[in-house]
Amino acid sequence: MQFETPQNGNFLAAAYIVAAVIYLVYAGTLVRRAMQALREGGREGSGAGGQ
Amino acid sequence: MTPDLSAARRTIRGGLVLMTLGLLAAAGVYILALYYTPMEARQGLAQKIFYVHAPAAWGALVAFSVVGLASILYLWLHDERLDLFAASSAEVGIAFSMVMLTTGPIWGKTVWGTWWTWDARLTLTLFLFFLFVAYLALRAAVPDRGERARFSAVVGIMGLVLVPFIHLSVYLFRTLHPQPVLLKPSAPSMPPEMLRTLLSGMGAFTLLYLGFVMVRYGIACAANVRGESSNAV
Repeated sequence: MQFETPQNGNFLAAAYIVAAVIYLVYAGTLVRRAMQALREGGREGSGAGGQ
Repeated sequence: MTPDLSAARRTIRGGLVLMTLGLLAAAGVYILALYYTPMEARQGLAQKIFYVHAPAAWGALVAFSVVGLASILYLWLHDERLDLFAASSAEVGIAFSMVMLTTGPIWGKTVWGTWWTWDARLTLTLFLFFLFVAYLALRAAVPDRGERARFSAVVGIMGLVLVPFIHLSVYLFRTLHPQPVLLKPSAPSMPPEMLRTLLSGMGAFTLLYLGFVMVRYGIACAANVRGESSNAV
């Protein structure tokens, strides 16, 4: 049976962009919080005479 | 036992390395899916959403299963680290669920002709997502550490109970959602090129899950040591 392949590349692009944005935004918030935790941990560590 | 600060910092650093590797691997999966994997003739390019959607679903279900298992162990051993790990995994699971619940409808619109349908698989998955949003809300609302850990462990175990039902829902109910092509008793039902890309996606997003959860757990441990509640999940 003959069928025509649908032209739906825009849906693929939308899904890939949405997924990438979610992962990158979440990774960004984790990096920000991680850097803050490392900085504060470092200050407390040096203030207490090391870890 | 409670976490210590130097271990938390080591966990954060290790997690950041894993997370970077996971993001690079995920980018590799995008390239594999777009340039290496053949297009499915009946569904067109939209079928390639599968290589992002299925690994995200895998990541979410692994994350929520880990929450349940860590919660059971917490109720048994009363080790605070297990509670923090469960909560970290829940937050990561929500991120993966968001990818699953957004890419799924985009794919569904092209294949089913509708963004959403209230069938068993989709409804249970949405319910699981809301259950873990409630899990984090509960943790934010209970100030006492012991109570927070006990209450949220019960919710986490309820989520774990839901996971096998979600996997089996396509067999138990009439649903639009296709049956598994990989996690099933018989051999995988897809061409080798597609299977390789899918397995690469599973590997990449498992790595990303491990990176995310390690960083989040390290942050939670560090906040816990300092007595903060905002980052201690």
